[in-house]
Amino acid sequence: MSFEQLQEMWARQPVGEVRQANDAALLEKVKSDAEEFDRVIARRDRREIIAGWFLTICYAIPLRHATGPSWAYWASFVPLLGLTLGFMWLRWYIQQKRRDFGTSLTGELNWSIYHTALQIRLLVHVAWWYLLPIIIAAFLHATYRHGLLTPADWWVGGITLLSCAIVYWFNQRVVRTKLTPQLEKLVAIRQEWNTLSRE
Amino acid sequence: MTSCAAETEVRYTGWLRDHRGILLKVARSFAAGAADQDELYQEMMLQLWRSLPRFQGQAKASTWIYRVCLNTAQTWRRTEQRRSYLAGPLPAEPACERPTPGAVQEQTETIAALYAAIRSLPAADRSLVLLLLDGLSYREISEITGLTENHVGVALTRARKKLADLMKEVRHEL
Repeated sequence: MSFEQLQEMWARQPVGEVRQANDAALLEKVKSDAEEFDRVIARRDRREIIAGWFLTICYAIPLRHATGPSWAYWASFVPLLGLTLGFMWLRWYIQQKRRDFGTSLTGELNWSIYHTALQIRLLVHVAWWYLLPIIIAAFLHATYRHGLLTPADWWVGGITLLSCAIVYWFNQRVVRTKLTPQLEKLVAIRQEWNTLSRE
Repeated sequence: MTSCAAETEVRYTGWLRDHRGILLKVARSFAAGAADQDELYQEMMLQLWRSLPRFQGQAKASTWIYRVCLNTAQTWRRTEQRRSYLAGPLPAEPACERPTPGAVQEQTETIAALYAAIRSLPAADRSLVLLLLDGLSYREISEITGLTENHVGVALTRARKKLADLMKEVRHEL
């Protein structure tokens, strides 16, 4: 059977009507699922930004009344401020970057690979850009406010370090179990498209 | 509801009404088995809705729908937790329908064999063959995939040959 005959048969195939309750109910369900996804992402971003600003303010207020060199006052909350602003910039950058990839199948695929690889890089190095600024800020805050580390500070420091270790472990697990397999799959598909382009 | 949101809804329901066949064919070409096809179909519906704000009308609606659906299908992975937008499952593939006499039965068997053959192609070839079978020109396929027309031509010549070989195997097995 020739390809043209197959094509003709394909065009005549009964695609049938999908049995559905009604279009309005269907639309509502799709909308609510899409909105829920957007809400989760927006909630996560909002939480990070608010937490960053909150900690910055919490660290800044008591230090305004402390005596000592001004560099220590600034240094204790600059890491948090930098982290928050960096996070906001990254969101903006990702939105801008997406436009460079276009909307074709291969463009979308390249964008998915770029985005997934970026997420992996961020999470693999989460200790440096996310956790370290928090630890530095906490350390500077505690030492500068009291002049020396008190027993309470050691407790708070220990809990902070433990929380950071859990956050680090959780992120590495996501990289290992979700993002890396996803990236491998995307790269394999791109390889197929590249093979087509080269032939 | 704002007029923009209402417009989006009207466009979406219009797309589903006019191009449901695209979603169905892509689902059947990329997933085997009714449950997986159903899940992929629903995932494509969701992604189509999410893609609406990015649709600027520069491409034809069908071109956009092919892009979104094929992109969703080639990166789709089955999940344990299934969505359920549909009151019933998708219509079964033609070969699973009640046998009908003569030429119609032969057609349903050929279409079923064709889907089986398409599913055994690599994802990129699968997309190209599907678009060609749907009667799209090289230029349209190039717009959807992002490949040049020359590459589309060369790739399709190879994919057609591969499909013909697979069809022989599949029909022999059936």
